[in-house]
Amino acid sequence: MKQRRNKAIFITLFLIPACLCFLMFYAYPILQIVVTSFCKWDYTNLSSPQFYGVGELLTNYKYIFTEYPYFWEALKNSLCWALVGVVIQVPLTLVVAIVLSKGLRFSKFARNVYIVPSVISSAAMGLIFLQLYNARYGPIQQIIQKFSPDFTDSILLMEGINFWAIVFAYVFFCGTTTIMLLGQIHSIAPELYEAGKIDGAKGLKRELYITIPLVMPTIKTVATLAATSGFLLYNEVFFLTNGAAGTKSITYIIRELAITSSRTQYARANTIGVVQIVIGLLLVAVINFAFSEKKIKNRGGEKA
Amino acid sequence: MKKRIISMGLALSLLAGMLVGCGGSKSSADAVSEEAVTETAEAATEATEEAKAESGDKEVLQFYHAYFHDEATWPVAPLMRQIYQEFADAHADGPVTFEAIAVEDVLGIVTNEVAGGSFPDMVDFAGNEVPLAAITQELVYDMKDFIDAEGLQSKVGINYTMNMVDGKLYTVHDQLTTLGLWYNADAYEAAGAATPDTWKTYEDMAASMETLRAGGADGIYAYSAGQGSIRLFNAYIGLLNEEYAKSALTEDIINSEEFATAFKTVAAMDQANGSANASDNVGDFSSDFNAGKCCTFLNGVWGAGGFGDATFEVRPAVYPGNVSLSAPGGGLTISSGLSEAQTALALEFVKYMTSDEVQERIFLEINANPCNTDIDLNSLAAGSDNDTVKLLAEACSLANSADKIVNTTNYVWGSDVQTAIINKLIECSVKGTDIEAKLAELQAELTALIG
Amino acid sequence: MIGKRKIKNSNPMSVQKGEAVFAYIVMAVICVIALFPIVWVVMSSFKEDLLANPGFALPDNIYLGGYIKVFTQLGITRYFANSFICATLGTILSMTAFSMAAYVVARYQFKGRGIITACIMATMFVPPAALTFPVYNLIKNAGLFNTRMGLIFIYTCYEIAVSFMVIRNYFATIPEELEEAARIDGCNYLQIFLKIMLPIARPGIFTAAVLHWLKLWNEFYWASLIIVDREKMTVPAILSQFTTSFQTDYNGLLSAIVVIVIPPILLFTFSSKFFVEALSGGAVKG
Repeated sequence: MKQRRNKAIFITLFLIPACLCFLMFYAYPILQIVVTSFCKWDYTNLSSPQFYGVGELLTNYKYIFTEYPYFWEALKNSLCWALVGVVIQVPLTLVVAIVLSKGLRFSKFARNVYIVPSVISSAAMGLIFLQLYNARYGPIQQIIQKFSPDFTDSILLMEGINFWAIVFAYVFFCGTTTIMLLGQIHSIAPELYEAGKIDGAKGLKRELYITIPLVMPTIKTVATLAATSGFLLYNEVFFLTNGAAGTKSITYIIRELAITSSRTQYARANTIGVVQIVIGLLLVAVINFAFSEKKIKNRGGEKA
Repeated sequence: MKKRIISMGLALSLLAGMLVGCGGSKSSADAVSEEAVTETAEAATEATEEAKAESGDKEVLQFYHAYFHDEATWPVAPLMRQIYQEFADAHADGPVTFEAIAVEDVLGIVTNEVAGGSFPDMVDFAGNEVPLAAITQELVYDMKDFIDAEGLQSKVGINYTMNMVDGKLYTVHDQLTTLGLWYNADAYEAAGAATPDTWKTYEDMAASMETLRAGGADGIYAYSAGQGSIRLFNAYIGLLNEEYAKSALTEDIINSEEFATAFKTVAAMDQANGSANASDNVGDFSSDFNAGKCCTFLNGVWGAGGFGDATFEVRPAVYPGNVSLSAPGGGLTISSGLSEAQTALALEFVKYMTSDEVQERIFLEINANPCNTDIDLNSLAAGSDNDTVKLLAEACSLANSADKIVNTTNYVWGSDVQTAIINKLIECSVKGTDIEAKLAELQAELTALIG
Repeated sequence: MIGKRKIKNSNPMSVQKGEAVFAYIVMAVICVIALFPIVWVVMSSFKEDLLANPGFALPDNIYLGGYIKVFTQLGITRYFANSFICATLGTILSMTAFSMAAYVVARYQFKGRGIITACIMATMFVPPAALTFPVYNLIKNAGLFNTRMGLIFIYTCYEIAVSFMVIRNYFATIPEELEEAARIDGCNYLQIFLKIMLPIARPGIFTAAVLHWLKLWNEFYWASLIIVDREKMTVPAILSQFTTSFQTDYNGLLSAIVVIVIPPILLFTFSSKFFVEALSGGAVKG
């Protein structure tokens, strides 16, 4: 009895700081986003949002889904960026982390170098890539012209191609997640590899059957980070194309409605905000499911 | 040993966490009992500010502006701060202390204040739009009566017409955003192209651009598209129908003949000019212009100071049909919730900033187009031995005396509309793009945006 | 019992020749990818007029104007000190709060566990535009406007989902036998957390802290909104010095970018010894 009460007190105390932070910082905005998505709330009534009438409660949703010109484009892009993030970053991170874990010469150097781009803010990265893609003098244009001398257009303005131009401006820079995975690999007990060796697990097999299953939880973390950062892409879009030629993202249009528009469409922005939160959580759930580590028994003691 | 250090560190941070927790819970309680506490909190902050200003219980008028740059990065900023400081010093003995504060994000602070139903004492929007919400909620002060009573119409210049909203004047910008274009006279001559001062129509301009491309050497291009294109579009709309650039965007404007003509003409010119030469930041072209690669630089009069490296003759001009773009945009704006004494000082400041003395300094030192129409820029320039000032005077006079002075659509149509148009124009610059289709897309987008 | 065992950086596994070749190719590729932007920035920061020559070409002559401005005229030490204080305190507080929460969520079954996880994860997707006004109001009402305290408070609550998830997933990998053994030894809940779980989870917490600190070092949205005093401004304000509404000084801007990334890189390099130790520290795995 006393034991159970102690446990309850312990859990509560440990949750208090995080809950306070959530309540003060996020609870009100989240509530407001959801509630005002059913309201009229723009420059005409900024200090007093008003609910739409019973039959018209979904006015904002109807506008966003059927009239707002950029919603579907943005949703498609954001989801694609999330998918591309997982498909490219997870294997990349995994391969690099395994390679670095071998303790070969220069691997410390490579590890330290690989984290450097993560230190640069994404705003600065956007600016840097804008110059690298510069259609008159940028080095990337010069490389393209080596292969196709007649090419004079700007790749950032060519629909379809510019999607990948934006991807390449961020997708390979996953130094921090690599470090995270590397840490997990380092903490695998050597006995396991010894045992595997006896069973004939060498080379690729060793990684596939020993390393990867053991670091699955961290792979899940990497995948979630890759998906969410792709889904929430903003700075790259803002700096490279400013939404031109079919490159708007969900975050970009929310900002455009709430801040850039002189009509201050808070309610409509929040309606997309609801969509962003719901789809974002779905994404996290899907990844949790896809990378769930059923085979590993040594999970946390949930019944403690 | 190590363990002990870790546990000690953790104990410390736990403690810190608790402290923050406590502090935090206090502030969340504040948020609940808003009204009453807000006032005391505001009184408290005011009190500290006053203490800082060492002025006892004097009232303070805080003025937010965006001239935060150091002298090394933007010499204009400290000059503007100096102008503000002189006003503060001159009124140091008055009933209200004037305090000019440079902030990074004027617009962000204003937006959030407005969302909470308040407005900073006084701000300078530096050409950005005054948020419509501030006007609809009546958070800003109408200066019209003051301007009329003091007879300052000629001092505030086009502010008096372009910033007038339903007979009310909420903002006065001391300097104008004035746009024409700059061209490389040597390149035009070498290619045998008709110079901008002879352009009556956009066909004339397109023909000139074609001649420049045909006659120019490798790597030479006609003009800076992108941000420049929206300026051409803006000037063209104004040439075709002056009314369109005066009021908010309507469906009638979007579907008008003039809108389609202006868009298609500019888009076709952009496509011929090439997408490599289109950027939504016209500043990207300044080095190319100075290096003689870009023949026509669609930038504002403020560019006058940037041609020091040019080895050719730089000439200013206005847009085809003798049209210029000039607008004050948002400027000095006063909260409607100030005390009488504060309001009086704020109005005094507007009068000071638009006075002949300060306006002359804005022209001569800041190198901007002043709003005061009583100032003779040419005679001021004649008295100066500064080349930038002479070039600026020439550009400003051309723009100020154009047949039509058109407001920038950015201010009247809104920046989301502006972004939509600029993006569509930029997309059209890619070879083989169907301009008609892009126009239809743009019309649909704009209709939805203003709905 | 629960002994901590050090493992040398190299695993006792033989690396075959083919594997080594592959490994070196991968290392070479990631070095090229990582150095590509930074080399370009450094090179370009020596060019007086970037736009005249933005390619990978070396500068015609080395121009140091940008660096001179950054170091002599802008008072960067002040910015650095402010950012360092705000980012570090924000990180410490945030890590404390969320390693505690992440621990109980990862290791204990209790009512509301799912809701708490969902709530914290949802914060990741809340648009900053929607957060701005309520938080701005809160800061103003609490009298924290234009104070470092206010900024530190925001930084504690900023981007909590990533830290929470990283740390929680790390706690979840620790085998439960350890906890049970400790309980049999008579440790109470707090002792188990402090003495057993926390040391093992150091790599996870450290990674989360590095991620958080880097984000705060570059954070400017909130700083530009609630800090008005130049004396209290943080590092990214150096970048905005080089942009006016009329033009961008690329030379100065790129020089500033180089200068801004140096402290984090130095910090990382010097702490990497500790870092490596942390990574291979809690190596008790079932």
